[in-house]
Amino acid sequence: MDFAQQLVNGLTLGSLYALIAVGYTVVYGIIQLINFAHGEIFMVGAFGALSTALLFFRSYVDGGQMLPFWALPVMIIGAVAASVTIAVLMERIAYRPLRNAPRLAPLITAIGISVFLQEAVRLLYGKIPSFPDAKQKVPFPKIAIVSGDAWTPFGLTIQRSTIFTVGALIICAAGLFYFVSRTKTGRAMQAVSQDPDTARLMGINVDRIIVVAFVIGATLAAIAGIAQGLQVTNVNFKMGFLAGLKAFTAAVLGGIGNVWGAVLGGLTLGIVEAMAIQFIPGTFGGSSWKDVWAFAILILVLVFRPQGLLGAKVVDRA
Amino acid sequence: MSAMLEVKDLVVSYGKIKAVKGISFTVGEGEVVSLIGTNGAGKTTTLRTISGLLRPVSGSITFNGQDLTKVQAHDIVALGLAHSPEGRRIFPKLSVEENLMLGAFSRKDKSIRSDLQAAFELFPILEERRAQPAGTFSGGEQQMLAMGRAMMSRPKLLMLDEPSMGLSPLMMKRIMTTVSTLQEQGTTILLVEQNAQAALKRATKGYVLEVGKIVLSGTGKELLESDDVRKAYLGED
Repeated sequence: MDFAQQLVNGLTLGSLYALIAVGYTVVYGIIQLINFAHGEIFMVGAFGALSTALLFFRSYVDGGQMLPFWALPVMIIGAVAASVTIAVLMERIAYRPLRNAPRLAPLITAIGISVFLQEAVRLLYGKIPSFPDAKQKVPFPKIAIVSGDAWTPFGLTIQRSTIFTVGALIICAAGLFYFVSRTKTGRAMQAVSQDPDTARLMGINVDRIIVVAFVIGATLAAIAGIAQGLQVTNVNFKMGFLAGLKAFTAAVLGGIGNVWGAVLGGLTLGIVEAMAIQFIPGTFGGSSWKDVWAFAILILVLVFRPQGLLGAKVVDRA
Repeated sequence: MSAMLEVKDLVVSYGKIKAVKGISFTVGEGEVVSLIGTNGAGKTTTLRTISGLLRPVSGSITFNGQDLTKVQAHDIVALGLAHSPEGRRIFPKLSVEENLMLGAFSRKDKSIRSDLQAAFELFPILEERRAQPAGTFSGGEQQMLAMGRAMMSRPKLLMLDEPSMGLSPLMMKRIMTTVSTLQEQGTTILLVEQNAQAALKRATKGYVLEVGKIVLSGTGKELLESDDVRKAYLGED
């Protein structure tokens, strides 16, 4: 029973990691950039959802009531709009001018953007008229059906937010599969990741494909932001830091550049964390050590299987 | 008659190193023009500059009256200029059919499917293996795929960079026969080759490149019979 319960917890956590990890991996697959500001895209998504609730469902929020279920799609749109806007601006302003710079330059820029976005939310969110101060945690509204009492089938505890998170991952992964393998733009994306110069000879606008990669990553991160808000019932400006690092670990674990690797890596990492909490005895057990185990996995992967679970060892470029 | 492609005083450099030092040549409609020369002569650099992957330091490239040096690389194929690059550069993880369809990426017309059939007729092996990942192909098969992919854009001018590189004599012959077939079907061809014999035999016109300069030009037949070419490229004394 403990095992089954931890599997549920692990899948919940893992689905969240997976949703964020896809953003690291699609961008890396196209331009070999680790976008360390991607965690903040996730955070911005959560705040976008919160802002949407504050703007359109204020009476529910102030009255401490649950938002109607149809508020969820509205909040998803708000979250995606916020994340995508920031991601596209980030690419255009910060990364594109550095396209041909040494690889260290965009990496350091990413860290700069990350700090910039965290501080901007911390200092400015409360300045927006009628918005709460965001220097500490801000409560995330509850929504009918996806918030509320947990289900307890067969003695397990399954939070409603778990269903939302896992369901979101399944829908996003299916959508992504369709997009990448069945649409013209998706195939162009694969072509750019395999050989950008030759892709241009086919008439593919590489700059446009790079923007598409950022948009996909931001969309999934925004949905993850809502999932996180529903799970922990609050959001804060720092939430992207640890979640971003974990998702990055998941992307590396699965094989960075490989979309299915990111999904597999996220789920694996989530399950390992949950199991470690439950089954590692003594001092090293319990939830306070779970981050240690997660990053220990990152180190082990980097040492013993740097290409990740699904990554190819050599880049085959004929 | 004005030329389809006119390259004039083209200079291209990589940083401080000049790879192409002021070359001029023309390709007329319906012609097969060969650029021959050894490694490092600047042949590939020339083609990559025509396709917009590299930008010239000076000089002009005019294709059907349009200045290509101001057009983005990804917009050039839609003008009717296809480039089958050196080393084939097929997309290894995509299937044969997906590779071919990417060749038609810039097109929006309805006859893409019938052109896919035409590519399969040109190279039947591509149809047999249409679902196979292209990376599993042999060099010759990859070359066929690269040529088929380039033809999928319905080019007026097809640029082939070393199509015979690393191929068996039999496969080389097959590829070169296809070049003739494509010409007969009305495609103009700019052929870059180290294999001077094969390239010049089919050429209406040829240019010999040496360290970034054109040192010799003439009809394919003239060049094949020239003493300089025979010594330098055909290994005869």
